[in-house]
Amino acid sequence: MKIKSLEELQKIKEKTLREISGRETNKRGRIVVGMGTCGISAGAKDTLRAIADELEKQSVDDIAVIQSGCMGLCEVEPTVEVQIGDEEPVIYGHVDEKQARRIVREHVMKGKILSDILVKRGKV
Amino acid sequence: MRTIADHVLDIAQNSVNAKATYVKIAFVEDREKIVIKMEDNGCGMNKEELSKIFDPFFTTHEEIRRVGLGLPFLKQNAELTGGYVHVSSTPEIGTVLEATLFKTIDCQPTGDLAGTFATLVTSSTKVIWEIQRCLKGKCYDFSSEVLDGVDLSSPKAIVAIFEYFKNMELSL
Repeated sequence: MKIKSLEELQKIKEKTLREISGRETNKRGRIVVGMGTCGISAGAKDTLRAIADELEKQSVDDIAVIQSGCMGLCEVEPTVEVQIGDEEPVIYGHVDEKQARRIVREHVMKGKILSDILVKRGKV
Repeated sequence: MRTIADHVLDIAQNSVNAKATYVKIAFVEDREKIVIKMEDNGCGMNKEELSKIFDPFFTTHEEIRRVGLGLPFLKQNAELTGGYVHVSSTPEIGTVLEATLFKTIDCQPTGDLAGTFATLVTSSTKVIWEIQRCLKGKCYDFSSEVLDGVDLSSPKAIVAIFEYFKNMELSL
C-alpha cells in the first residue's frame, strides 16, 4: 500500500485504533532494538524497519517493537533483544536486515533460538 | 556515522534523553548546502556543560551507558565541509542546535532521512515531533500529534510510518 498523504496516514491510524480497541492489548512478547550511537552507526535503523516489516508480512501483531539506548554491547551492534512471554530475554548481535527477518521467522514464530548470532541469554 | 541522516537520528535522541516533550527538526537542503535546526524543550544545559559538549566522550549520563560521541562527530563532519555546528541552551528551557554543511566533496551523503524521521517518531510516545523537510524549495511538514493514541510499538503502525515518510521523500 502506498501512503501518499497525511489523510491516508490518518485513516490508517483510525483503522489501527479500531482494531486495537477490539482485542486484548496485552502482547505476547517484545523485540527491543538498540538505537544508541553505536547501534545507529552499525545500521540499527534498517534492523528496526526489517523487524517491523517481517512481523507485518507474517501477520504477527502480538509482539511489541521497542527502541532502547545502548545496551552496552557496542562491539556486536546492531543488537536485538527478544523476549517471549516469561522466557528469559535473548540477545542477538550483528543483526542486519537478513538476520532480523530470520529472528522473526525462527525465534518469534517457531521458538527456535538462533545460536549462530546469539550474544547472551538473560538481562543485559 | 556514514550519513547525515544518521547524525540527525543520533543527535535527536539527546533531546529525548533530556526529557523533552517537544522536538522540532528542520532539515533544509539545496544544491549548495544542508541546514539543520533542532529545537527541544528538554532540561537544557548550563554554561559549563555547554562548553564541553564537543569534547569526545563527554556525557552527563553516568549511570546509564552513553557514548558521548554524537555531537563531536557531527561537528567534525560539518567542519570538514567548511560548515559549522552551533548549540545554545538554557537550563529548564531547552536547547537549539543549528548546523550547516556545505556540499563539497567531503560532505557525507544525506542518507535515509525518511527512515530517520520514522525511527524518531516511533521511538517515544512522550515526545511530539515537528518535522520540516525541504529539498530544493519543495517542502513537507509533519507533526506527530496526528498519531496521538496510536500504539507505536505495533509493527503495523511502524511499517505505515516508515512508508509514509518514504513516500513524502519521493514526492520532493
